[in-house]
Amino acid sequence: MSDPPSTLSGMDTIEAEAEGILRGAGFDPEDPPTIEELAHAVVERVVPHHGISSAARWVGSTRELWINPRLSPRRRAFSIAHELAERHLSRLGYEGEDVEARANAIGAALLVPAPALRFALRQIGRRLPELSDVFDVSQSIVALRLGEVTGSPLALVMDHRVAVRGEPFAWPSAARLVAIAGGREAVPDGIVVEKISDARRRAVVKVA
Amino acid sequence: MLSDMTTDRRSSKSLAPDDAERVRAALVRFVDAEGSQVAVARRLGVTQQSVSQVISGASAPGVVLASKLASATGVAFDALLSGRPTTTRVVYDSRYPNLDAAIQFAGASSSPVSAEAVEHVRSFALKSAEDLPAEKWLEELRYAERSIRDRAGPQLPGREMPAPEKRAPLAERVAKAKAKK
Repeated sequence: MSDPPSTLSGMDTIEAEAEGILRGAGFDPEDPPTIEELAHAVVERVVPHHGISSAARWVGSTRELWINPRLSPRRRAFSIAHELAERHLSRLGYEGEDVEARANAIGAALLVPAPALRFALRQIGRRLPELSDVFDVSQSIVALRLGEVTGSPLALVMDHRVAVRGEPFAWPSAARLVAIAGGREAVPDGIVVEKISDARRRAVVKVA
Repeated sequence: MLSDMTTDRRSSKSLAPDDAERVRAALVRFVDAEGSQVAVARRLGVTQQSVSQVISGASAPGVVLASKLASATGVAFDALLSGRPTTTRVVYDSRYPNLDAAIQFAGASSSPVSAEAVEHVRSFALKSAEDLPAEKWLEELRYAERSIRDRAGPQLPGREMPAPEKRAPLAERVAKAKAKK
């Protein structure tokens, strides 16, 4: 927690992979489908299953996807997106240690594709609640996608974890970012903190 | 005591109403897992008509059917009727050696899992047609047991999710958000 948090590398590839998945399934990244629509287009069967301990699970060599119906709709959407991205990476033979993080990033890009986010930004600006409604995803995902797509440096503070996106920036250590976001340390000059209204103990730390 | 109960139950030709209802419910879950009444009838060595009649309530399941169902699902006969935690008899199935090992381990542990949990996880295996690592199966058994204790399930996979409705175009959703702002 003492080192400055690092950003996810290879964002260009991640955008390209997500757009490839969408186009491959016959969808337009500028007007993306819901993740359920995408799943139905690329998976043989999507089945709700109360009995699985995880959020989602592939069966029959990724022909069928079981989804835990107890998840909230937005959490469920993210789980499906993550699983579709993971399946895509597996088919590409990707075996990097960051496979989970990469699947999260591609999954987020499936939910909020770059071309669609740019369009929404031009129309309604950067307000997280509105963008979250437009894409039907959590404000945390919108925040991460804003950093990824616009390049504006930002740090999403989730309780005691920090995810950094956007151009390189001299961020304080992760521990200090947590303290700043939690109001236990003064906000340094040149930085602003925006609370996330749909999740407790989450905030976005941005460059002013 | 358990063996006495088992003997008593097997010796009578019909089941008590509560027992019959448990067998009927287990049969419904088995049909869901196997995909069709025909497949279940084949596994149990009975006619599809018998399966159909028990499921619809037109006839009550008998001891023979309950015994065959217990055998096919790898659940001890008495446990199938009681649903109580039990040390489960393992029916070895060459397709799922890891699952069998996990069931045996769970049965021998200080907190055995119930017959219903075993039945659920075995159905899960039949449906997915893959043998997970034993520790994963053990995780599933414990999860199923917790779900049963919390009265939250477990349940077999539901019907396939219907194709979702096409979402409104992005421009329309953005215009709506803009108006709200």
